[in-house]
Amino acid sequence: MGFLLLRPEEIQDLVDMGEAIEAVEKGYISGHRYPVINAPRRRVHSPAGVRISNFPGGVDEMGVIGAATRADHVVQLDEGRNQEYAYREHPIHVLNDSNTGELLSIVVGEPVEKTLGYTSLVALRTAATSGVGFKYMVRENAETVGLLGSAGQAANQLLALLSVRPGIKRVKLFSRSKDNRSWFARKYAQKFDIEIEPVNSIEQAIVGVDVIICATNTNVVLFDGDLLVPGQHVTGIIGGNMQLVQGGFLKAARREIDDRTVERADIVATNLRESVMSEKQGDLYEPIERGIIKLEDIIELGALATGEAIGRNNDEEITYHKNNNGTAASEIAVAMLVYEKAKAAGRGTMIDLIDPAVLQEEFAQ
Amino acid sequence: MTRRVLLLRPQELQGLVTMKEAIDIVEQGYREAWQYPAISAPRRRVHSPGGVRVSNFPGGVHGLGVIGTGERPDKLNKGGENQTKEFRGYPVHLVHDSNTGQLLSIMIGEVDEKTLGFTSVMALRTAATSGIGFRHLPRQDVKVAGLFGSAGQAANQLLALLTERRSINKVKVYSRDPDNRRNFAEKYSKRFNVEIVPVYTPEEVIKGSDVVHCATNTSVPLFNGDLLEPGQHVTGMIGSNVQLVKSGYRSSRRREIDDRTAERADLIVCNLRETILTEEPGDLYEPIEKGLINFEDIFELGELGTDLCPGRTGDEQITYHKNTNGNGVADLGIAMRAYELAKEDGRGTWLEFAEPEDLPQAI
Repeated sequence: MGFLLLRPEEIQDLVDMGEAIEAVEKGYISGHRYPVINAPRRRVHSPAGVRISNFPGGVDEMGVIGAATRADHVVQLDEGRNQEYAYREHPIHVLNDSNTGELLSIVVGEPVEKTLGYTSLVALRTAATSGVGFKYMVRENAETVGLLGSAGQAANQLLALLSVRPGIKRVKLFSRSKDNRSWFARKYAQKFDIEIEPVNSIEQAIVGVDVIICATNTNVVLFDGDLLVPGQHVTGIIGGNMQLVQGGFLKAARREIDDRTVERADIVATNLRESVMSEKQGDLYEPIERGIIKLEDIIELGALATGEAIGRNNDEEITYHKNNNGTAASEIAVAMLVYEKAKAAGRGTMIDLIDPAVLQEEFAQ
Repeated sequence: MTRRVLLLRPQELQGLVTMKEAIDIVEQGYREAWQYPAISAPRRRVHSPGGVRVSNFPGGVHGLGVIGTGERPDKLNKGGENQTKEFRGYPVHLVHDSNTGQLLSIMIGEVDEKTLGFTSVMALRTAATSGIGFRHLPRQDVKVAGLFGSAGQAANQLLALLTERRSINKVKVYSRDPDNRRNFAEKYSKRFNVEIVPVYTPEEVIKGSDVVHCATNTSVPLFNGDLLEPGQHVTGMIGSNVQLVKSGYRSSRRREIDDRTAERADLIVCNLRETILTEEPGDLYEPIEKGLINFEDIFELGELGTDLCPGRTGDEQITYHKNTNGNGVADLGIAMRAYELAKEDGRGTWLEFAEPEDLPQAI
């Protein structure tokens, strides 16, 4: 027996956004059909600021169960308004066969979108998860986007939207640094063959567009939900976990989207409801606490993907996907895809493991 | 720049960590986690429709410089009064530096007790966790132990007890198969230099014992709590998780110790209280549900030996440690020790990876 060890250098150019969205969708379908196969992300923190994110779960439709683990050394900036990383370790994905339990592969490193390369932390699976929401919640005739953020998450999120809504024509882009937004607009207008206009305020970016994508590292609300207009779709990507507050790293739960957005949205979807409660994620947990929305009224991605719930009924609804955090449904789905492709390409190193029976014979004293 | 990470395989993890070291490490892990809860999380299990279960153990011991996760797959056979496995996978530990976040080691295989070797699933850590209870809960003058079970867990549990309580001079062992209990008695009386007597009934295990510890794979209670005598300490090691029931794998929660024991115990200690809510281990969850005991009255290992819960306070008390299940704080602590010893000994294979920031950036 043995397993395939894949190193970071060996997994860089394997998966495109469309494939990733499809895999993540399978992941959430699997968890919806058989809930005990998935679990919320769980984080633990050391007093020195090292954080381990653990994503246990599997995708039976892809024949995999296991866990992903990622360590980062988190530093809070500007009195907790933003966060950055002193160190971000390669994520490690442990993949087992969901029928036999056998270890298939340990994938070290972050799967990245093959045409974008390495950009931000877990940008591919975060964007692919947003992509599942875009597929079911954005109007079919959407043409314009307001994009907040100009780093790797922004590029991946935009590509995810373009993958499921090729009719998108124009992007209005805001981020805090003027240089960053001009750079992003130049680079990705060419790459994606689309019009990208840098604008000077969040309001200019979001007013009147068909899709609003938040792809920043903010810890505080980005805009007033009263600015939304009928027919818009909003995607936010920040979850945040209460252990950050409990561990003394943040004074309050992270926010990105305000309560008013939740109040106005006709349809609210999230990746996994259990995470909202287990991590007390501000953007949904706080409005639930205040009685603005009920947990049961929030739709899970798996319900959208199986067709059990509808993501948009008409062109007038405001829809909102809180892409609250990655779970194994996305982490393990994308890692499995990487493993399959790497194996087919003859990459990686087979590592032999001793048969337990032999081990017992040799070492049980 | 490249990074070096030590890959350790099952045979390279043998013969490294002693029971005494493991008990000290696990106690430190629980104590630190009690003081700084964010470093610890309950075990979480996920299950596939095909019956594969993956147990996850995130956590760390900052005093030992470690944080990370453990992950272990197995495949269970359905139902029955005893739990058996169709497949038992090696655990994988991802050992990180708790100061920098760097991956130090990918460790595949069980860390077994140095002198006992490869036995049952996670036997060293499970026994070391019972060992914290043995350190604080039995009476000072204990002499006789009653043991349920005669496989690897039993050997490890007994070693943990003897490590903490050298005054034990007699052990009564019961298991369903007379041959197994005879063999166990023969083998381990020599090895541990203690008198071990096979007995024929659960009643005999309990009668006159100072410590009663359970190390079986049962899914139903092993004895009636009314049999317990004042002054006894009881340790059980089966936790289980309610997801087994939710996924249709079992019709009810696993049990090992009955409600009556929980009711009669003067002091109940579990490993981590949060687990009682997340996994609903039957032995504690069900008596709480029935109103026989209160959740708030149960202590956890991190509190044991502190002013909050000094341990046993009278010779007549019945004390009960429900070693509900392993947690990352225990597993990562032991894994760190094994990594250090293996590294010192020149074992394993150094893997080289590019630093994350040296990978090709955005195209």
